[in-house]
Amino acid sequence: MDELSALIVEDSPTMRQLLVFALSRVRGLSVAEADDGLDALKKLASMDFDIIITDINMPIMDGLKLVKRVRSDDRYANIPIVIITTEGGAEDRKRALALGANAYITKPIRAPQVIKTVKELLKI
Amino acid sequence: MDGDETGTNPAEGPAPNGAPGGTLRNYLKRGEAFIDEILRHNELLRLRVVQLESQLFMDNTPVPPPAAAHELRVVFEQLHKEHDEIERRLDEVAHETEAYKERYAQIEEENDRLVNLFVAGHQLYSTLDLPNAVQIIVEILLNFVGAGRFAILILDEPTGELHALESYGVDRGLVPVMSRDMDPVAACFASGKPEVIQEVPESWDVNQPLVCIPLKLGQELLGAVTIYSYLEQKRELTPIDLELFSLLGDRGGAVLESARLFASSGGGPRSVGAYRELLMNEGGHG
Repeated sequence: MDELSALIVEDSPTMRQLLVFALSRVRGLSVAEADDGLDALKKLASMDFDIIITDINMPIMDGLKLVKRVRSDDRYANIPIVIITTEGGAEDRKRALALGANAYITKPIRAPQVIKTVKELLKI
Repeated sequence: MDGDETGTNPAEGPAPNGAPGGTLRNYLKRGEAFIDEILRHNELLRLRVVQLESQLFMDNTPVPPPAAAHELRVVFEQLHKEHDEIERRLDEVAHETEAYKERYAQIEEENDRLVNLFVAGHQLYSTLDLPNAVQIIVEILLNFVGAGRFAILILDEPTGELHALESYGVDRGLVPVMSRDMDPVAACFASGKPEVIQEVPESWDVNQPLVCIPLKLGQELLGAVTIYSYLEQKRELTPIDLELFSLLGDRGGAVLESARLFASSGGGPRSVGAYRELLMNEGGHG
């Protein structure tokens, strides 16, 4: 299997480390990290990613703005996006999915759930 | 009849060929031979009847299979046996798969537990910066546990009251001051273990903590973490949550106190001399 790569966008180092640990158990998946939406866009411009996992509440550029920017750029239009957030309301979910996110996971997260979602979206 | 129509004794009468005595005897002998022959024929016919009956009986029995059919039957029986064996093996494999699935789920759960505890512990000890240490405790409570409103309280030793150092989901100034002598603080300070209310009564006071975790510093108690509510998607506390509470209680106090001491020491230049001096003063080593 070719190497796949995931970009984790999260301002909390604690959450980032948890997600890196979780996704490092997916065989054939390498993981890169970004602190916020803007950092993620920079990394997207310099590297190819197969999936983006992003928080919503972040400084500088939040997760929803990132989704919007990614979906409006033809180069990244097909990259699946997973939202991981504390916002558990139905409206928040609806909004994120309407913007183009592919999956919506609420905190507290459990590693198996994240792994399952990522595998489904990557079809592995 | 005593005699024939000629009125002569048949035993002594003329033979048909004209010799009266011999002719009769010949005639009788021929009759005897004729009767023997009839009897023999009769016997043969009877035998033939028996043979035919036997043949008829044989015709009504099932036709014995020819060689090819016999072989097919053997193959069929063998295939049937193999089919049964395969079905039995399939059942076994299905059971094994189910057992592996169960085991896999258990291992996943265990991995999840260990990853949570490892990351929380690793992050807690990753800094001596007080704001950073506080932020890490907040992140663990919010992201790992799913607490919605909570506070980190520090014990003011002179008054015996606990005041909020940091809060989330509620303004710090609105976090109720608690006394170390009143429950749930008194109870968790006495046991040194988190006090957890699993089922919340309907008339619960929202300012009363659902969870009270003592922040320990060895045998001393530095303060407490109080949780007042959870995120709306948080359905129930899990065993991992309870382990995280214990981890925060056992390590959180030490982390906060280390950060406080480090900040108050001014964080001067590190030298091996300074470490040795501390070793001599604190541990009595030469």
